[in-house]
Amino acid sequence: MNDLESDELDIHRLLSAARPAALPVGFRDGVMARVRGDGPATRWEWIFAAVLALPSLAYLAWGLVAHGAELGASLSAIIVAAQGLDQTTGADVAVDGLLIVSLALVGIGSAVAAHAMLRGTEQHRMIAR
Amino acid sequence: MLTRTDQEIVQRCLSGDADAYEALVERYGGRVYNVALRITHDPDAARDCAQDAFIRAYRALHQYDPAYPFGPWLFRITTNASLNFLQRGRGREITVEELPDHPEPVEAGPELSAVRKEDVQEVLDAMALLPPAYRAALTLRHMQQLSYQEVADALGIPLGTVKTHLHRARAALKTTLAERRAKRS
Repeated sequence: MNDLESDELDIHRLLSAARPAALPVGFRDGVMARVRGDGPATRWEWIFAAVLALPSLAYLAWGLVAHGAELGASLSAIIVAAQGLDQTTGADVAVDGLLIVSLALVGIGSAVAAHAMLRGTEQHRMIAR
Repeated sequence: MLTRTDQEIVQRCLSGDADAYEALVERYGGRVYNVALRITHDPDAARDCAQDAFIRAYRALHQYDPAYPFGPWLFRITTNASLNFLQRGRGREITVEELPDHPEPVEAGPELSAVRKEDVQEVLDAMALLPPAYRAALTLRHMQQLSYQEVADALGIPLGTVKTHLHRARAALKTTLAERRAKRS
């Protein structure tokens, strides 16, 4: 250190002579255990979320393509019925069990992904603080 | 065994080799722990803050700029973790505003010229009475041998503020030491 000024020599001599405290036993192992358990956990959360949500999203997309016209007609009929113009013409939507399961899986997948994302955001916030 | 630079180790960590980080923990563990210890003045808190600092640093490795030395960057995280700990957990700490700008000048007598174990302990005890920000600056400057600019980078404050902090901290230390010696004699 070559930028020492004259008025700091005395204190510097004393403080630099202080013996450093020994690192607590198990410190390094403690850090590394947390490091090793850190990255993969978040990665697995994303993988789990994708496995849950992507097939269901694919099924929902296929359903929309295959039955989109019917859905459009049903929604139009529901709007007409809601306006009180016509109560008789197909103002209903058929929902099968697979659709409900798909929506539930997408919901769970989204929750897991949101958790992984929030964890990442929290880490950034902690660093910036 | 080939000794890797900090930047090479960081690069390995970023490419997915978490075990490579152990070399950085080994290399900086003692210094990080001692920085936290001097700021918190509590071995248990220092251990927690130091571990926390390493974990935060690991998670933020992608933000580290390899053009700069790794140590001051890590010390900045350590200092933040330690000061945050004090802000959260402690009651009332002395603030920097409470110390006079220009304490009574104390002549450095012969008692400061020779380094004795008792003198070192005495100055460490006096240092513990200073505000945390001053303790952090003194620790980084005099115990970790950082330059003024590195201390400024580590604390995230301007260079001029670092010099002011250090000047006032040293003056306060000298005053405290002089008072203690006067009481003894």
